[in-house]
Amino acid sequence: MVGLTLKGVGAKYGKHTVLSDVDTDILNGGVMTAVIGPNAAGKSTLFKRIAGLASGPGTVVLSDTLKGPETICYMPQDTGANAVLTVYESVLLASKQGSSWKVRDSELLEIDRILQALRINDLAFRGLGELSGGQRQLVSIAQALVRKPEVLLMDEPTSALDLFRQIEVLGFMRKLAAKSGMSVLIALHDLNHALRYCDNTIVIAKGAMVASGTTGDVITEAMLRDIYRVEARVEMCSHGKPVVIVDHSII
Amino acid sequence: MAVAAEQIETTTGRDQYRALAFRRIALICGMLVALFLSVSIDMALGPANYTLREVLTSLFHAESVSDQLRVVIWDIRMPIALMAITVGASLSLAGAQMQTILANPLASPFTLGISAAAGFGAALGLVGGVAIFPAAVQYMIPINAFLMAMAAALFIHFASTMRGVTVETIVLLGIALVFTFNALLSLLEYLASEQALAAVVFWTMGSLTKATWPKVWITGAVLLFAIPLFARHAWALTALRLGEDKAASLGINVRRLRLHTMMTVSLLAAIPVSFVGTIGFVGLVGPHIARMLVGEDQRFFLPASVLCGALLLSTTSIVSKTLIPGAILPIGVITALVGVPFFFVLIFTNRRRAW
Repeated sequence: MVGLTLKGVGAKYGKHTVLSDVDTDILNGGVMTAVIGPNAAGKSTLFKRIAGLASGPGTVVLSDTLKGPETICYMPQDTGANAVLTVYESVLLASKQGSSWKVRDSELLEIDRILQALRINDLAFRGLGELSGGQRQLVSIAQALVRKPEVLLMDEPTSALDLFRQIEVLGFMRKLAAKSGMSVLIALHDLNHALRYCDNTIVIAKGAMVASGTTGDVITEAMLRDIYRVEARVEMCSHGKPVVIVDHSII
Repeated sequence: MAVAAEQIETTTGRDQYRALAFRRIALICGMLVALFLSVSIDMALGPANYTLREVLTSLFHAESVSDQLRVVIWDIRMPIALMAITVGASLSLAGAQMQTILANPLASPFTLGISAAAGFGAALGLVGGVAIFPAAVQYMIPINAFLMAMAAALFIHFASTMRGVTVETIVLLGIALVFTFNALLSLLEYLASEQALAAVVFWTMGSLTKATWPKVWITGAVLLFAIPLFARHAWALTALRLGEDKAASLGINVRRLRLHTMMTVSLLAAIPVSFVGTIGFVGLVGPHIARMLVGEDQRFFLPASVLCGALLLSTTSIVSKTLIPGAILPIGVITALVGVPFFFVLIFTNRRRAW
């Protein structure tokens, strides 16, 4: 079970600083951490920096040694690239990077298992170009999971999914994280999802971290007003769970 | 019962994948057989027509055929037939990997200006007697063509690595290169003597009749050098088609992979063009046909692209000999005439998305 702590993490593109001073307490393995903030706040950059795909100051401290060099897995937002590959092939190639041409039965059975867990096995031999945006997101999740990551960075993985699928996927990821000990950082726009599925939350705005802590402590009416520019309330629903109710935007 | 049902379901994907892979391997084997037949027919045709049996006997039992037949097959027709397949394979493979790393279906040695640059380099030698590499004046034409083609390919590559340059920009740059080199070529043609003009026009039409064994060996060697390099990166090159971010997230050094691939592609595209002139269609369409047949998993796409290009040019060589009896038409002209109808049939009958 690998946890991670961010110490003064920032990122630069050339000479231009796009993210700075992200500090967190340890984000434990086995739980989900939401990364929230307005559009273009720097959430994707933070993920790329943690995954080693962007450079910058600060350090990402891991609480344990990773089993392999590629077990920090970044799942980017879907770019819509239309390779002439089936869903099955696209998941296979995610698991085969750096290995031989030969495909073992065990590798194929693992793909079957993941596609079934995400309930997209009926799409297995459809072309990527034939899929809807939501289906492509589910395939991206399968591509990430097949690599058996210890730290998984998911960039808006549910943005194109219908409500049922959003809840299903987030519930599945939470259970998987708890079962496997995987650290999951997940960029979300729906704050109710963050409240419901994520133990910790990091708020990024204008290229800097503005809050970090347990989700209930971070998602407050003051934060929603300052960062999201909305008048909103955080209230308990009839099931005793906190929900964000937005009244109006602040112009 | 539930366990049994689950067991059946979990093996379905695996079995379907194995069946798909088997079909693709069978298709590639079928293309190999077709290529062998095509090369044999290509060698049988010429001013003196031989039967397929005579050609095969000459190939496998050379001692049992007449000296004349042996000389015609081995010394005259075989270099041309093998040049057709090595050039076709090289251009198609170059086009396939250009399309892969630039994520653009229009990328090919022809559309990105590499062939036009080679044509200009050759014309410099043919018209002005200018040797870009003066140490080997006797090989001035192919060396000029090669150096110009390499320069164009490297320009495209380094432009593609600049910040803010999109794949669409690269294709536009390529088109700009085509127009630039074609304009320069036209200028040289305008200034050329009648004899030099004829030589330039003939060169730019592409011809396999310039084939010799050394040229076959060089083109074949570059091809044999490139294939294992691409094969080693088969998974990474396939992943590149999922998008740059996705490929990087899979641990691929995208920049380095693009650089290595483009360097190899430059060699693959420049060498054949410098030997046989401008052959435009194969590098663009060969990969598309391969993609429609076997998809983009490079383990299948790579051999299929090689075979599609080889088969396309070998078939074209046959057509170029048979269209007008007694004459061998320029292969660069015939390639498109043979390939386009076949390509149309594939586009309109292929229900799967091809790009």
